[in-house]
Amino acid sequence: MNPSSASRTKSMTISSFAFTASVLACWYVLADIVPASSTLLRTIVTLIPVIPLVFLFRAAIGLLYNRDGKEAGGERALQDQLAEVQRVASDNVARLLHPGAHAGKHMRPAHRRYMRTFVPAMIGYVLVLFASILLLKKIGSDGSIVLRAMLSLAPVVPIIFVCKALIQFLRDCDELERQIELESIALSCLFTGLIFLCLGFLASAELIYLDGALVAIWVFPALCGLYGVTKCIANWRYR
Amino acid sequence: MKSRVRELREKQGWSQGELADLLDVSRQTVNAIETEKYDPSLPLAFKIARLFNMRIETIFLEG
Repeated sequence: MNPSSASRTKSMTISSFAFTASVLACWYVLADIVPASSTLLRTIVTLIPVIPLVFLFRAAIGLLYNRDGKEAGGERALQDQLAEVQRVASDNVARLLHPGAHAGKHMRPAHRRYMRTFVPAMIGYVLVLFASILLLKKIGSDGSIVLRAMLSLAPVVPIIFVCKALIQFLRDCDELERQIELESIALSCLFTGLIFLCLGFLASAELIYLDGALVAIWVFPALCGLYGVTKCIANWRYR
Repeated sequence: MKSRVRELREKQGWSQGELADLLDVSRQTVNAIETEKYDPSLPLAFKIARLFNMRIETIFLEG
């Protein structure tokens, strides 16, 4: 892969993440912060995810066409280009997660196998989450309890694949990587428990109000976020 | 624990990545062993010793 297509693929990866993050942020801002009366503000907020989407399309078009604007398909099959996009995209994500292990090198088989499950599962999670929220809103309280329960739990299915990928990765990685992973998981569990224990004490003293459902939903994302932070620290220690 | 892995690797003219491939570990692991931030397990130490055709105690020294 030449440098320009590598940077375009990198740009595609970053844009995809920015798009997902901005959609989630907009959804939260529209639901809780922006008043329903302010149509202009709501329109502006709704259009924010379009910005990373434009960059995503720009990078994708740039990758399929060369600098002169001529179609690159004559030189290489589209399938090969897409395979390269997938390989470099997963390479970039892995470099973000394992900075020490991938300095300028291709991924080891353990990381490649992990990313092959992790990336589609996370994309699936975002899609299933949106579909589940939309369908639950559409059905309302009229639908059967079984159907509503199934729709509510649908986003957990791709997360199970993420857990499976992580377990497989822990078995495949080498001894130092496993030590780093286990240290990060242990510390993130401790910190998450500590944070939610503090929140629980504050809520029981009626100093803050906590919605039980919201707290239950945020435990796993908090664990994942803290795992990312503790892993960066652990990686830095052994660099 | 003091390690002579870097010295032995450089003598062979291998990069950290090449040694990592030979030992089936990550480059980060090789770097951590060389910089003495991580002590390898006994099976990995044996693997290193076999690769350099030396005894473990001549590669890893008490320090």
